[in-house]
Amino acid sequence: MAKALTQSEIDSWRVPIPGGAVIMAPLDRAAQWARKSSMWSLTFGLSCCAIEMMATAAPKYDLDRFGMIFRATPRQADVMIVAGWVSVKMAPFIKRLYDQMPEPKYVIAMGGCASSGGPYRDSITIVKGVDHVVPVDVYVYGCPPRPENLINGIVKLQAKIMSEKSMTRRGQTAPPCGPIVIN
Amino acid sequence: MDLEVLKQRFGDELISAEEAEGELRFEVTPSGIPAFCTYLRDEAGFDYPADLTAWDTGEELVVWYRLYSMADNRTAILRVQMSREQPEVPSVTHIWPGVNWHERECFDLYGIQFKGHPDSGDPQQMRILLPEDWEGHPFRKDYEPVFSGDPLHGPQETN
Repeated sequence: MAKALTQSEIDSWRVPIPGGAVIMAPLDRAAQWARKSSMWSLTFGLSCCAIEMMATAAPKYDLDRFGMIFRATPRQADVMIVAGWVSVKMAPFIKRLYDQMPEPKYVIAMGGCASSGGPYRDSITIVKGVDHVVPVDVYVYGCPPRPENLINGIVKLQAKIMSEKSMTRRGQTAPPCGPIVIN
Repeated sequence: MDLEVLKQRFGDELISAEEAEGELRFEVTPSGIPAFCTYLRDEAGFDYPADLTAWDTGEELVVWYRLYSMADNRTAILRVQMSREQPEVPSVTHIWPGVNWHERECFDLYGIQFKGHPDSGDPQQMRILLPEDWEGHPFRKDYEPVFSGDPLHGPQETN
């Protein structure tokens, strides 16, 4: 994670100009802040985890506090929350939706099924974790995870975004840190 | 409904007919299905196909039709038995359109061919639950999956 700014650092970037003052910040940090504060997510409920995802978005837990709004199109989404098991029939569509999302894009594997196949790991029609299909940033454990745990994963993803270089695309350079496993 | 009259009318195609536990139970040969089902709908009043499913006994494949009569509050169960080598039965979608997806599911999981089904010409279109390019019919007792190692295609290895 990038270190927090100290007051002296902020003061050092303050450039006096006639008639006013401007605070300058590193471009990376401004872009990171903009990204993490407005992570629109793709509506992608596959099974029972989707109910907890909906509960997280509902007034009691209020995902809107994090600037997260569910979008029904991948073109407007930054985060894909894969909530539920991924069948072999569904996997090509997840891959296609992921490819349709604009960069920068992130994936949260919500629950045991999306992370590893969960209780359906012994089934021949279930993909053993969505990370076989798309790269995953945060794995959230639980069956299904409580809304608090999903919010924990979202906060961890925000921390990961804050530690990234902003002007690189996924695949151009190695990610600055590995996936975060919450437990 | 007089079961003896029925047996005379349908002859060898109606293998057995009995009334037990408040429901009618029939066993029919595959070739007798269209005529017998038309009779059940038009003359016996079984207007609602409640269920259509299949079963692999290990030796034969069996298709079950569970029919319901709204007017008489009565249930009829049809049983059709066929060999594993040639699992073919005439489709009843022209009698009850509601069984369309049930027949597709039976084809998908047991490989039973429903002759005359609107999608029966194309096996990929006939599949309903599994991916279109899936090979084999997994609910058969002799099904052996062939693992491709590809998460986007075919059976997934278990471990």
